[in-house]
Amino acid sequence: MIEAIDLSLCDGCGVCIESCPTDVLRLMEAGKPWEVTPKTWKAVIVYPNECHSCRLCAVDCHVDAIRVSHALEIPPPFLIHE
Amino acid sequence: MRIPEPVLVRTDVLVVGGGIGGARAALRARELGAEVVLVEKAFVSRGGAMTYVHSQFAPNKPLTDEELQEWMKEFVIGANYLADQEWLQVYLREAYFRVQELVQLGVPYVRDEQGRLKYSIVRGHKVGTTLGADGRATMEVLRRELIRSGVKLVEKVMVTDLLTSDGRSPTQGDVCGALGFHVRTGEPYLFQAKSVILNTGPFYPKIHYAYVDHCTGDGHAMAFRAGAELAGMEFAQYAAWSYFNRQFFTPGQAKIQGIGARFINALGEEFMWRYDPVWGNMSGLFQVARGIATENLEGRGPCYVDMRHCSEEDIAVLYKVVPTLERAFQEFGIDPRKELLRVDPFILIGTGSSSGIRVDLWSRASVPGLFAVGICTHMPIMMTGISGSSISTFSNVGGYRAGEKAAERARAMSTCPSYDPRQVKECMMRFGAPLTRRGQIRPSDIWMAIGEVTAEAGFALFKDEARLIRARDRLREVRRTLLRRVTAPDIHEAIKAQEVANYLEMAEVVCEAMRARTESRGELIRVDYPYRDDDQWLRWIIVRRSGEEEIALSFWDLPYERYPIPPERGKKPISFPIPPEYRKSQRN
Repeated sequence: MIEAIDLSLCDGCGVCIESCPTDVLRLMEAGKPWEVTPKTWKAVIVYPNECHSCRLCAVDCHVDAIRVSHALEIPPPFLIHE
Repeated sequence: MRIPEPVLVRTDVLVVGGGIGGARAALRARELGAEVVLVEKAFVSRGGAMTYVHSQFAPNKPLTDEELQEWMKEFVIGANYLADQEWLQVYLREAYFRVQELVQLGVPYVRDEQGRLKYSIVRGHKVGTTLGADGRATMEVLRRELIRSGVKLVEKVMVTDLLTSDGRSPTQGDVCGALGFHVRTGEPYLFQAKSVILNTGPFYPKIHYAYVDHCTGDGHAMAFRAGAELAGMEFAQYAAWSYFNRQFFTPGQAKIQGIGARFINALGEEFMWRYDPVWGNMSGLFQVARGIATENLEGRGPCYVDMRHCSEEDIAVLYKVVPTLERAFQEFGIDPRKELLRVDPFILIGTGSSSGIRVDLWSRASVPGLFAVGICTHMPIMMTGISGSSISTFSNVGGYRAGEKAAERARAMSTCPSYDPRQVKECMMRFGAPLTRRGQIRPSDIWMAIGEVTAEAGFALFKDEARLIRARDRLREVRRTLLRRVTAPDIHEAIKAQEVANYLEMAEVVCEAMRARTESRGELIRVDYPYRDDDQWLRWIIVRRSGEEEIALSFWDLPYERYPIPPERGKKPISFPIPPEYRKSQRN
């Protein structure tokens, strides 16, 4: 499952948003909403549970900001019971 | 519920799904002068199974009659003699030209040092050749071409239903369009078209395995609801072996097998020769998964895949054509040349290689105006996942043919047939219902409930009549109780609710078709009929929706009298052992 996007690396290009087939990511304004400073865009994980670990976003990211986690990913009911 | 006004899109040819087949169909129809709209649930070049294709079946020359015979034989045996040999001849003759056209368009197939195309052999083949290319790169080339040729792309829109000229489903009339929703905004799209081509891929449950969560049988279900025939649904057993080190999944399995990987058990034996004396380590996905499951059940597990003997060069090619595999190996610190990788299998209801919308030689479905291309069809050329590389090339060939006939049909019609607004309203209400409900059942809960039914070893591995009925009844129960109460807090979840409903509809059909086939063949293994019966069963089972909650089964006997390759006869026992506790069905 997608773990984190390093916001210090993300330049808000939006490529990962298009890459994600299950629509996990969105582009959002960075920083605190009450700050008046010019805002920048960052990719944000909105639906982490929909991530199917296809790694398309990670491979497409040109600054290598996306980490896909090491956690057990398969929902247990689908593994063949031993 | 307030019903929003849909965006109206009128066109000659509507293509639903933007994989290789959808793209080829759109391009061909456009070339013949049709107006074409291609609608895709994700983003063309980053969605669906094509994203993960790494080997495309590609004859290295136009085949002579004699060669054709030899190449056909490989498929006929691989398809357990259920291949439609007329389709197969068309496929093998046209595949060379369709792939060469992609070479011309600039698809970056793997080449040797002299710059010549590097043909190689992968799983399922001894004579048939393939070309390697990253599926994403293939689709990027096709995407560019779609835009250049003036095909209108509508992306991030999920089509949910087909519209019919009589406003009924199942219809007595023609397919005349489709209804879809934007996956983020929920904005409805109403497509009016003279021909509709489906290229919606395989169907799987959400198991968080690479592309599969995206392919939930939306095309199968909408065609079924509209009254189109499905075929081969009893073979819908999807299996894979690439759950590595009990940590992660990746695709690229055929390529790993293709570079000579070996499967070994805890005793160090190469066990696949026991289950498949012909192909051994190059056996199909289902056979390997089942082989591993059997080794585990009989106490010789866990099992491993061994790539330590593979050359640096082969590993480099593997990484080049499956970059997501390299990425996963990197993340987990795995060097396949130094260590064994533990592998675990799964088997579940989903497309193996031949369960889908029944098509004729021109990719036409049984309802006029509807075409289907690629792995959402019944894949008349193959079965049992034997040739992983043929899936995309069949889509390539079938797409080209569908585009041609769809454009021809559109040209012969002066106007788009009109749709019935009541049908549109009904479909919109159905899509929107989860948004209006109160409750706590979410689409993910329904996926879990489905998993509980299908992963039971009795069902997954040792089917019989009683277990099939039980699974069907439990799935029906999930639909009648949970699905009717599913809630969606936003549009994203409403889309997911639609997906799980589509899958569930197909899973029940699969159980019915499995019950009807009283033998074991390919991906269907029944412990109450533990043999392949070539006297009775050289026929396809056809399933059609005949009314609300009613399905009609019929049979299509292969016309072997017209085929060049003769059938086998007699009964052959299956090669998978059945543990004693599974031999007799436990009723209730």
